[in-house]
Amino acid sequence: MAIIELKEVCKEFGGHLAINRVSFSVAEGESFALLGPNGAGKTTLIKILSTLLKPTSGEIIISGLDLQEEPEEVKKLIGVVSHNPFLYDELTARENLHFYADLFEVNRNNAEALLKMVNLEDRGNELVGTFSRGMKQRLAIARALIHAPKILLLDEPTAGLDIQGKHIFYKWIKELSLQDTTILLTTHYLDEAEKLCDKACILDGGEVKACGTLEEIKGVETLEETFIRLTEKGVE
Amino acid sequence: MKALKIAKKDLLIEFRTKHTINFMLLFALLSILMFSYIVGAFIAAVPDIGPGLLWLILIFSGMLGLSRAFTREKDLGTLEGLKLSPVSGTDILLGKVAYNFSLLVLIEVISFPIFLLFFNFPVAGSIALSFFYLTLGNLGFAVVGSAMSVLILNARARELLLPVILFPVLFPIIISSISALKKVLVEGETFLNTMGEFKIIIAYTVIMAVISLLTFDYALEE
Repeated sequence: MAIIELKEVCKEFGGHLAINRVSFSVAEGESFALLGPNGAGKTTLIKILSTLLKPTSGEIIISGLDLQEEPEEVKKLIGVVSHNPFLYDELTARENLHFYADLFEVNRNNAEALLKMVNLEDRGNELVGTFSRGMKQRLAIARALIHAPKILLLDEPTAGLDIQGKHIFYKWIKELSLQDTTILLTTHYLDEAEKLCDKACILDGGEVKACGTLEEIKGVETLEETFIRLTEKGVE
Repeated sequence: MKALKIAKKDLLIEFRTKHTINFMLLFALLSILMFSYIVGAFIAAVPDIGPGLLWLILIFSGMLGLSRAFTREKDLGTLEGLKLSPVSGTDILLGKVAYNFSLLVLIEVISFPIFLLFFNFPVAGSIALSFFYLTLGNLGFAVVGSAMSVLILNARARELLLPVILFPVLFPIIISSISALKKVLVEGETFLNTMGEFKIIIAYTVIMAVISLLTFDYALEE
């Protein structure tokens, strides 16, 4: 059953069509990658799905809810992790999680389990401003999971992370995927998509160029070869 | 109420870092000191120009902090974090109004007695009623200022733009607050005799609050 469903979604910015009639669906518990070169529309699409942007036209259904009709209900179903952790440097890790728990009206005790999960239980009372990029990103995952969302939207979450940080990140995403959390990931790293996702959609110029399982998209090629072939028009 | 959670978070950050409050307070105290020195030569004019000067000091020092409530969230990217949470635009705006109002009242409570002392102000009326009108004016200032600071969020020279667009909109509140303060402090008038100013400040603040709440979601859109 599809938990995310996009039908003919368009987004226009001052006459420029950033998203052009994009349609695809993601099944519950699936890990899905949105791939594409810079300017393909990946982040715009994530912003639309996370209710930060309104589509110009088209329909988006999230877990049976119309995103444009019930954005507040949809927000309760999704967690977002991007390269920006959405954390307050002047608050401690625990205070940050408590603040978001209050906004989502969930029990503050959720924060303790999440701090433990991201190995920050000993640093919970330290200011986030003193954290490294990797630690902030770990805390960002905890923040995104504070309300136990059914869907996790990941917008280039490993940008700027070192190899260790990426490794730990991949481990958690796989664990979440096993717990039936639906993952929608945008990334520039094709190996990341292959490690974490079962299905993918390749975007270029705001249009869907290919969509399906990674095997269906690649065929006999490597994912990189397919990606270059499908998006080379944009490079020219 | 989520608005209070947002205000509490902002106040916690402010009192921990003191990024804004120190500058607001320093500006207010330096201005009082400077104006009291200048006005000292024209001691007879103090009752006439004092209330206006006090309001100018409060408004300029308040303006140092007003825009930061939203621009700090925007610059750190945490505004998106708020927008991703199931929080209405009303809660965000009310939270920021409550935060700004708290800072303005704190500046007012510290500055007003120092102003009276340094200006050797001949107080003829109720100090409590004067505080009431200062606080009421600051409430209007916080409502209008918070709403206006959202409108300039995406502007390039937003710190320069805020005073330019804020002053004309704030004018009815400033004039009424100065008039009420002068009547109470200098002429010793009672609350009943300043009812006209009270009604204007309340009505204007309510109208601006309603307009801000109705348009806030659009102003916050990317």
